[in-house]
Amino acid sequence: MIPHRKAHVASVLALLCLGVAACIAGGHDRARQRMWWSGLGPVLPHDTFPADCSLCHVGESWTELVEDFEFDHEAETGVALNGAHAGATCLLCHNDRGPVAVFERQGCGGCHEDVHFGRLGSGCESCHVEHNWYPVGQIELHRNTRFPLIGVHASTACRRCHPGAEVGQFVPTDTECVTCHLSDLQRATNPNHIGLGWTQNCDQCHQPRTWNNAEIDN
Amino acid sequence: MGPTASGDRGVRRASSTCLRQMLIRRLVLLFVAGATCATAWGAPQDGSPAQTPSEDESNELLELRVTHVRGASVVVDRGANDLVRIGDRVFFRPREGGLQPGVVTQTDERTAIVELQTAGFEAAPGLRGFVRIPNSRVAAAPVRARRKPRANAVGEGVADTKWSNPDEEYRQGQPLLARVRPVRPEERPSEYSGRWYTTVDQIRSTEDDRTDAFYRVGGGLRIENFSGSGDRVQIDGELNYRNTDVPDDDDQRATRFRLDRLSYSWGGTRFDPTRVELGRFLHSGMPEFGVLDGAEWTTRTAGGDRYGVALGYLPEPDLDYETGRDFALSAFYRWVQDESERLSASVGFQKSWHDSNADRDLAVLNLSYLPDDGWSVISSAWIDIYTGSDGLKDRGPELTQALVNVSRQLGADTLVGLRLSHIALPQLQRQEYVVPQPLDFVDAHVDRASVFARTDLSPRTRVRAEAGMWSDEEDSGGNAEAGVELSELLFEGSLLGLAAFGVNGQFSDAIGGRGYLRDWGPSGGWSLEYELANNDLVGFTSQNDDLPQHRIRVQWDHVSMEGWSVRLSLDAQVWDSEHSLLGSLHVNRSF
Repeated sequence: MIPHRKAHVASVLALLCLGVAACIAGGHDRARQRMWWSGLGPVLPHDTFPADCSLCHVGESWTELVEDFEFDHEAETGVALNGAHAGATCLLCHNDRGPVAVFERQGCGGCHEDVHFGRLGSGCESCHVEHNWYPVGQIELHRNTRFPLIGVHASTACRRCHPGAEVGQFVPTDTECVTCHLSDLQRATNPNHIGLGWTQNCDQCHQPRTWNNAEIDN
Repeated sequence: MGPTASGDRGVRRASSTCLRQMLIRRLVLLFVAGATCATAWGAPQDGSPAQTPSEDESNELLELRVTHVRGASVVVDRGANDLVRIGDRVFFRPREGGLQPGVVTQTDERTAIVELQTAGFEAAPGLRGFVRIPNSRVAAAPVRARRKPRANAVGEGVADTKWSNPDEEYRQGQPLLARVRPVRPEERPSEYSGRWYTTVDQIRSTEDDRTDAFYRVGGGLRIENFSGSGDRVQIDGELNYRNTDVPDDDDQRATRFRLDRLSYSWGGTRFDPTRVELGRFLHSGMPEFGVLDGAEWTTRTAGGDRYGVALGYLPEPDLDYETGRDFALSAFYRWVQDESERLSASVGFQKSWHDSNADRDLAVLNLSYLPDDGWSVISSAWIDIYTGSDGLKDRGPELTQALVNVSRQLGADTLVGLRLSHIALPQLQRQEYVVPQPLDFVDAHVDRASVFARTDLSPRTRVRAEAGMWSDEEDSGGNAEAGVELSELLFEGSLLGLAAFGVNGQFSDAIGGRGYLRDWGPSGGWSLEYELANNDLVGFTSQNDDLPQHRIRVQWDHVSMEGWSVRLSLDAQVWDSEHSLLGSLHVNRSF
């Protein structure tokens, strides 16, 4: 027990240290939203921009923007930039792929790769928000399926039932109890479930209040 | 730039020679513009004001903006080229509301001077406004002199998606900003971006002290113009540790590294229609075909269609992306109606072999229709084609996945939609689905249909509702939820939400309610949520088939413009005499 604990704590500390170091070291000269490099050139068409160039550009160098440059994306284009999009550098969207309106029309999928392989549809906002891509609300969303998560199932990591969850793959898992609990069935010897032929309809005696206890109708 | 808009700063910095040349050039331009206008529209040669459009005359609204303030006059960024004339009435929209009038007193090619009509009104650079251009004037203008009004709201102006800045060299006499040679990807300095993240998830439940720990450290790096030829390198990976402690079963304890991406690509820009990617990456042409260890070649036609082929090994989509057992060949074609891609359709086919044995023949069809009037239709269909050697499945095609998402935005306040899905389990040799025994492949499927709607009753009140039905090979059921969200009710930035729901599931039914309070600002926020549901276990034969369950969730978020994003959440579940606690910490740094 103690060696396991030590190994556990050591692994946690090592990963945390690595994570913190990685996060801190990751922040080199972050590409600021207002920054413009001389080599990037005029990717954006300027033909609808104000005639007064000095609103955005420094007179000595067209490749630098004025210090107090502000661009109200919502007011100017009708498209609000929320969450992480508000801090993204312009070129992440306005780049060599083509007119950004084409990609904006397609929603999240216009710019972001579909790491779910098209299996979860186009409603990314059901699980993700713009300020942090980490998903939230899965227990509520699971109510929309035929298998709402209640009791102990609501306290189980997604990857225990969906092995591909770590890489964004939530292929359907068969809802029969033995799909995930086959080893529990094989271990149930008091009474001997398999010997008695109790291999179907587990929910007649077992509830998801606990993993092991059963209740028999009197 | 016209003389009235160039600003004094630029003039001072020019040498005297350049200054003279500029003034001469602008005077010539001014003369030409004036002569052109006078000839084209019969404007008075003596500069007398043009007729102000009458109220009943049909006009075109031209958006403009203040660029300079000169006492009681302002300079706006629209001029003679935009069909603005001396005497036109201009209306400005100050932030405090209302409209402030002005009259055009002088015009240049691209700018105009407007005299403000309200004493004491102070306009600031950037102030927006509009001027009405009579349609008769627009119709009489040469085509090249017409300019499309600037977009002012969602949807407006989006229709014009063609590149109006063709890739041509600058020629003497052209306006400075109209035609500029874009810098090619290979001419740019090499830049890199990416992210690092750390995630800690811990679950502890009271029954026999079960615990589950999952710690992840990962990151991604994208290098643009890696070797100076406009190419890209992308790397994504993760190191994770898991420890599942279950008293009556074998524990799971492991540390793994997973490589999600390591690829090298070039092309695929507007300058180079052909794109090639090598390494481990997600299919770019058709992501439905999954992650590939191999190569992909795609190209774009002059009309915007794309097609391509790919070959390589498919890593198993699980915790370690084991590869080398599933080889695949695929091809796709994507058709687009025009450059706007409002209507597009794609078809793809992938054939794979598992351990050198023929495994899957998968065809994928996608169709999307995204017009500007608020409609959105996105659909896809996966068809597995069985050749007769699959044993459990009959020879022929089978629809194994269909997704349809239709929504309609009604004005700015209301959204309604419909979702349909059909999912069946294909028979595969490849390890992709969790099923207890092969026979479950035969007719296992689930169909779902749901409708949803939300509308803003007022700027601070939103109501929403969703109802759905499902059906599988054995059973059917459904769910419904309705709620209201009230903004700014308790304090500035707050969002108070209440919802009620009902569920008819396969093994349980439930009714319940949920309330949440959120606060969100530019640097993050917090939320507090409580939910109570009474679950009825439908298969349980005893009387004690009710399972009330409480859930409390607390979440704190911090985001910064420097790329930091931190989320800390605690999720407590209480039912009967048991309870569990889920703690999660996620730290992300983008760079």
